Amino acid sequence: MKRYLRVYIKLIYLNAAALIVYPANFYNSLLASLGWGFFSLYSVVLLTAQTKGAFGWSREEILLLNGVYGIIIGIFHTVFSRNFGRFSKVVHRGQLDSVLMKPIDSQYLLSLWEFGWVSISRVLMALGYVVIVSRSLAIQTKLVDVFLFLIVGVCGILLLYSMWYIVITFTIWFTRLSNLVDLMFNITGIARYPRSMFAQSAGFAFWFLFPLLLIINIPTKVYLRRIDLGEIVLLISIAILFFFVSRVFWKFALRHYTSASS
Amino acid sequence: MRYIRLLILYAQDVIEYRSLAVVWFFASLINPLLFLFFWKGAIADNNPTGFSSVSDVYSYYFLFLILSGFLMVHIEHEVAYWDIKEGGLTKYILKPLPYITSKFFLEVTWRIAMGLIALAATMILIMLFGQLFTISLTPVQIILVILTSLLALMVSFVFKMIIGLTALWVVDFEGIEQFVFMLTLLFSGFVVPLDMFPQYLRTIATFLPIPYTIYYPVRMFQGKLTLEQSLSVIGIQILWLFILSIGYKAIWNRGVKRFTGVGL
Repeated sequence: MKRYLRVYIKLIYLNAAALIVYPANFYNSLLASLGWGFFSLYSVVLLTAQTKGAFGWSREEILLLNGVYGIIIGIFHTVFSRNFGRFSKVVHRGQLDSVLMKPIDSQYLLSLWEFGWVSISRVLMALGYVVIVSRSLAIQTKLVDVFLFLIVGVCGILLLYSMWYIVITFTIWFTRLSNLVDLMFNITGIARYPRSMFAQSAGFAFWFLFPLLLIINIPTKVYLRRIDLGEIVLLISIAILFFFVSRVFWKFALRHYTSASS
Repeated sequence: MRYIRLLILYAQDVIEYRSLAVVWFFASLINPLLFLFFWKGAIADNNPTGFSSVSDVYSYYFLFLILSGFLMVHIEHEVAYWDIKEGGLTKYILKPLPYITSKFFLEVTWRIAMGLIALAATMILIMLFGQLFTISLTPVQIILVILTSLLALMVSFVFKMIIGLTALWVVDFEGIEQFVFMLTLLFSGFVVPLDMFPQYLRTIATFLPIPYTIYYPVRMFQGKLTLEQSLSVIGIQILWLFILSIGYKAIWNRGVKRFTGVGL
């Protein structure tokens, strides 16, 4: 465990060094990150500008849901999404061989190789947005709420990570599907809408989307103090289950990896 | 004849990468469906302004989906990464055909494929859920819609070619690519129609070519624009095409001198 932590600290440090060596890339990436962060938050402001609310959520609550999405997805981008972006390239070009040869867990290394320092700007932007929306909702936050929010937030990120990993693992068989990541970005966007919206409109697809809809909805409900212990337990259980499935599926997929050029 | 051959050649390319096309389509389907679900619920709860009815919402987002398949150009990625960074531009420079022409036919093939997939999906949804919306256009409006769509495709194409060529000057293209894509989504009316934007954003939009690449063709298709407004949109599209073409030529002439194909 200590060795894994040491490796991760080293990786974070190396990613920071790369950022300093290529400052133009840093500013470029910062522009894109802030741009997407702004678009993600502002698109829901635009969408809800002429409504008082929908699906049992007031407009401010929907904006808060979107802000929480911004925080969670920002952390996800910082820690994981760049790694998923390089996943298909690693498999397609046979670079997975060198990952498998290393004396460290392959899922660990593939998931955490790159650290998106720039995406921290998105988290900060979303935090500021949540603070502003919280004022209009007059939410008084206590320490215990923050603690509970952190627990469900971490579980949400774990669930999101596991879902992405399960889907991206398919590139072991379909190496050309480099745009699975883009599909996952779009699918993840579903999580920033109220769960009741899908219960009303999506029919049977609601049950298919159910785990995804827990990721943001439950932390937001905790923040709004609409705490439902059953839902918290459900999120924790599903997150652990999906993580376990992602491990098993990855190990199964590796048995079908045929390499390339090596 | 050689252009038809080019189209056939690139069609083979699309067929080879058909699984990518299907994934792209599903990725592009998600957001319009989300907006549609949202408006359906919002209209049921509050009767907001902006959209007159649920049918109006359906026609806007489904037409947006279909037309973005046909018209939303993504050539900048290929130009920047495959041609400029990886050196693929060399083979185009050696060909007896302008670079922009080759790229145009490649993109047109992809647009036809993506548009047809979107059209087929919409048809399937209409068959499953009944008539979601109706469109009634006069013959003159139909001609104007076709004309504006063709111009929109060309404006979008030249604009994205210019964006792609910036990779000749910048080391990391991803930031520019993502930023322009975000602007494209915002100002093409991807989230809500531009009529529902605050005034300052509408003012910014009037100075950009982006609304003329998808948004106005969608509104014309919906029959929301008068004859005068439609002709004005077409006039502005021609103006943008002219400005962007001059810009492209200037950038290409200067940029191609900077290009180095290493290790080819």
